[in-house]
Order: sequence, then C-alpha cells, then structure tokens
Amino acid sequence: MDPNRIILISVLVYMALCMAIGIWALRRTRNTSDFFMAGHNLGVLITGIALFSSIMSGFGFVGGPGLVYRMGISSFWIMVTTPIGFALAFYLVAKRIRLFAELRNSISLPDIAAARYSCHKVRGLVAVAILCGVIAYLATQIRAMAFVLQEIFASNGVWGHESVVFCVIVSCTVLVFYCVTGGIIASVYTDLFQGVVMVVVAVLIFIGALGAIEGGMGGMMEIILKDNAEAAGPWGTLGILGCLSWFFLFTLGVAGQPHVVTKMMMSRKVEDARRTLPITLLGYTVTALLWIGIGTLMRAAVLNGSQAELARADDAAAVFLQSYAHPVLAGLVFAGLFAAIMSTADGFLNIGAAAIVHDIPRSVTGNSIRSELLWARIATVGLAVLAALFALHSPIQLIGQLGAFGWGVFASALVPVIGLGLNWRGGSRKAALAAIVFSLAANLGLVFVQMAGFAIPYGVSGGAIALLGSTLVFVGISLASKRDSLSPDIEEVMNL
Amino acid sequence: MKPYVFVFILLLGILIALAIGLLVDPSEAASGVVHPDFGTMSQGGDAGRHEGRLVGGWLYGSLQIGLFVFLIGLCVPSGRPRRWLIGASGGLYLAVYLGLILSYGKGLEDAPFILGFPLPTALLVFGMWPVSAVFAILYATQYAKWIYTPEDAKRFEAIKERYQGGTKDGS
Repeated sequence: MDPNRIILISVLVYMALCMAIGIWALRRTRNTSDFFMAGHNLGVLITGIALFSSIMSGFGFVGGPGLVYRMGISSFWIMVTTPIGFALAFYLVAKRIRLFAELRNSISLPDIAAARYSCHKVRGLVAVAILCGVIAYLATQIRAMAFVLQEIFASNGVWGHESVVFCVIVSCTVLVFYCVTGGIIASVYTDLFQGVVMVVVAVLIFIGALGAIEGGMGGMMEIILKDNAEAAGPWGTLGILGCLSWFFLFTLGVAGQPHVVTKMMMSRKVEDARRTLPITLLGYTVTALLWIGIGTLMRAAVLNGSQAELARADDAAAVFLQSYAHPVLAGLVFAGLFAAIMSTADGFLNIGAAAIVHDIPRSVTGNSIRSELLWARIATVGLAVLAALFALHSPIQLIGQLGAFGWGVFASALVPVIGLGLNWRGGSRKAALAAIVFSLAANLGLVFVQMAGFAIPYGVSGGAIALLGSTLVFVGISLASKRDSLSPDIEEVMNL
Repeated sequence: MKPYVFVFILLLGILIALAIGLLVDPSEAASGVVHPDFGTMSQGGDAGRHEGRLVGGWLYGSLQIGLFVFLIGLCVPSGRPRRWLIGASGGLYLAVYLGLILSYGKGLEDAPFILGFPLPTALLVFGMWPVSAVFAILYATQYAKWIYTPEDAKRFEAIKERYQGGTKDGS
C-alpha cells in the first residue's frame, strides 16, 4: 500500500477512536462536576498520564523539533527543566488544591482562587487570564493540527496545500465533538490513550533517529559541532541569557498551567499525588526523546548534505517522517502528533468553557447560570471557533513562539496567585489582583512591542520577564499589606 | 527573617542579575545569527560572545535554582524528619550547574564527548536533568512524612466535618 495512504488511514482511525471515546463518556457526564472535574474520581494512572500528555503538546511534537533544528541545543532547557518544574508544581499545588476542591466542591481554578482569597474579583480576573492564555495556546494547537493534516492530505493528493481552512475545520470538528459530548471525562480518557500512543511513538522515533546517521547521537553532535561549536554547546545558538530565561519560565511556570493544576483537583484521593508525579515525569521524559531525536537529526542531516534544507523549521517532524520513518511507523507517529496536540487542546477547551459559563458569571452576579451543563457545551464550541479564527489570522508565524507566549500568560498570571498563594497565608487579595493585572498588561505589551518590530535583547523570553515581574509584585505587595481575613475553614486548611 | 522576605530578595537578585546581563555590551552573535548557508537555521558565533557574561549567567542560574529549592523547602513544614535532604539535593543541583559553567568556560572544541554530547552539554542532559528528578523522588518517597501525614488527613476530616453544611457552592 502507498505509504501516504497508510498515514492517512492511521490518522482517520485515530480520530474515529477519539470520537468513540467521546460517545462513551457522554453517558458518564451527568452534571457540571462530571463535565469539568470528572466527578473528582480519577485514578493515579489516568491522572499521571493526562498530566504529562497535557504538557507535551503540539508545541513539543511540532515546535520542539523545529527549535532544535533552528537553534541547536538551546531548547533542551525547556525539557531538562521539566522534572524540577513538575516537582515544584506538585510541592506547591497538588495537596492544597485537592484539599480546597474537596472542602468547597470546587469545579474550576477560579473557584479555588475565590475560596483562597474570599474574593469574587480575584475569581473574575483569574478567569479572564485563563481565557486570554487559552485562546493563544488553543490557537497554537489548532494551527499545529491543521498544519499536520494539511501535509497528510497534500501527500495523498486529496487536497493541495491551500486547504488550511478545511484542515482547521476537520481537526476542530473531531476535537469539539469529543469535548462537547464527554467533557473532561472524554478528555482525560483520550489523554490516556493519546499518552500511550505518544510514549510508544517517541521511543520508536528516537531509536530510528539514532540509527539514521553513522555514530548515532555522537555522530550527529560532531556534525553540528563542526559547523558551529556553540550550536552543540549547552546554550545552543540562543545564548546563555535566553536559555536561562527559559529555565525560569518553564520550571516555575508549570505551577501556573491551568490544564495541569486543574487535573490535580480531579484525583480520587489527596494521597494519590505521591504516585501521580513519578508517572507524569516518566511519561514526559520518554516523550521528550522525540523532540531531541528528530530535531538533532534534522539539523545534522541538513548540515552534512544528506537532506535538503527545510522550507520552515517547523517542517522538521513532517520531513523526518517522510524521509526516515517506515510508513507504518510514520502513520503511528502522525497519530501520535495528533494525540499530543489534541490532549492539550481538549484540556484548554474544558477550562476555557468553565471560565466562560461558570466563573465569569459568578464573579459578576455572584450566582451560577441556569442549565450550566448545556451552556458549557455551547461555550466549548464557541471557544473552538474563536481560537480557530485566531489560529488562521494570528500574525505570529512560528508555532513554538505562540506556544511559549501562551505558557507565559498562564505562568505569570497564575504562579504567584495559585502556586504561592495556596501556601502562603500572607499572600493578600490586593496583591493577587495586582499580579494578574500586571501579568496581562506585561504579556500583551510585550506582544505589541514585538509586533512593532522590537526584539527583547539576547533572546530573553517575554514570558519570563512577565513571570518575574508579576511574582515580585505579588510578594512585594503582600509583604507590605496587612493580613486579609479568610473564611475559617480555609484558614484551617492553610495550616495543614 | 520571614521566609517570603527571603523569596523577595531572591526574586530581586534574579532581576538584578538579568539586568546586569542585559547591560553588558552584546557581541554580534549574542543570541544567534542566521546561518550563512541555511536560512532556516541559526548559528551562535564563537564562545567569545559570552565573555564577561559567564559569571553573571552563573549567578542568574544559581539564584533561580536557589529560589526553586527554597520554595520546595517552604512546602515541607519545619520539624519534619530528614528535611535537610532538600537542601542537600539543592546543593548537588547547584554543583552540577557550576560544573556546566566551568566546563563551558574551558571551550567546546576540545571538550571530551560523553554519551554522544560534548562535556558541558552532557552535564546539562545527564547531570541537571536527572539531578532535578531527585526532588520528585523525595516527594514520592517522603510524601506521608513531609507533605500529607496521617495526622494531617485526620485534621482535614475534622475540618470537613466541622464546616459541612457551610459554604459548598464551589467557592
């Protein structure tokens, strides 16, 4: 059979399976707690896999290899820092967010913020920050899905490269179908399936990549080093300040990713966190091999002349599959690519819908809206349409950069307010409000500055600057403020 | 000193280290230049681009590691057994990072290859990556002693019982 046809069939089978999971989960979704929180009843394995597959997104599977191709070792700092990032997130957030959720029957992150600070304004601003980040990050995922699908259709002669709008529609339809029908239950069970696919694919790809150039990883690094030693050094071509700004953003930033910390609220028991973290870390580490394998090989192969230069850095994964992988493996990998992208996107749709139908109305009126479950499903569709439009018309060209922007928005808005605030009784609501406002202003300001043609010197990440600033604002104002009064139950849980 | 005053000082230190790094005169390839033969790739010039910035980079990274480890330490209440392990792991992490900086300072061209990577890069991949996982191992193994003890669980059940019927609306 034609290799491209195998890839197309694999991806179609994968999409059909995701939709089947959505239909299966529909019967288990009876109320908003099921839709947004899976009834707080997820087991260790499912939570652990859902956590890592949420993080290892299209940014990791498409943008990551592209960054290694473009910059050499620089983007290793994003992967290498993740173990301490996940560990820090678990230390800071996992126990307390689960306790708060159980105590107050919370179904969203803004619920937790409102409980912690006894303040509906904090709830509203957290919801707004989540929505801003969700639209940017979701647009990245949709763009990545459409990009991959476009390549598959084009190589099958079904449609040409002009079919990007159609590819956005197809991929969004599958995503929205299982998110609308099965809510977070469909999301985490597809995450489980997607996570397993990603792990298998990453191992196979890494082995394949090592065998593609004589000498394996050493051979590739020698080629890269011979061309430019700095590209093979620990800072890659980006340089020390840029890499260390990623180190800061991607380590501290995990604790502010709503699609990650929200899943910590869904576990069956508080104690499950101890076993969830190792599963998450192991899964992430194994899938990161794909990032390293493809990116390094493609850079080395272009440098030694065995591969033509890529048209775009983000083509690294797609070209690798067409040039180096067995058709069956390529089919599996394309399914894995979709798995990586969809497992992140579904989480965003869920938390974004919660912000729209649950949190923002409650912060404005103090009450929930009627028929919340129905409106949650409608909001999921609306959010996907909005993000798809943003994906099609966004001026930012590189998928990796858009992913980093979304990460930065979440990190700078939520790390101080949630990560530090859940542990520090002295964190004040005034400081929480100021930190979120600062974060939104800083991230948006930096985007406008960069769109105007100004670059931050030395490749320093704008998200890292915003995170550093918002955390300083939060801690500084809290230290200068009087202690707020809290609900007595929250006060007691803060002392545990 | 209150712990969060120290957190504030660490954050300020990171900000100052970053600012100093940004103020040092840039070399041409400080954050990469377009590859002369392949327009979709970049090159990093030579190691001279980091001259005068390596000490600042060490400080910038070390303060960050200090912040992360200190925050982890704050999540383990004082008086819990073997809490010093967090500090010791932080020290090991800092030592590996220092090793990376020092080996990079000696140059990449003549650096020995370890498991496919030149030494400074190998320290990043096979040093910083696994050492940082020690914090996760500590979390998993010490959870019931540090994070959520059986006594904590009993206290939480009592809190829930006491406030059951109070605010149960999600916030």
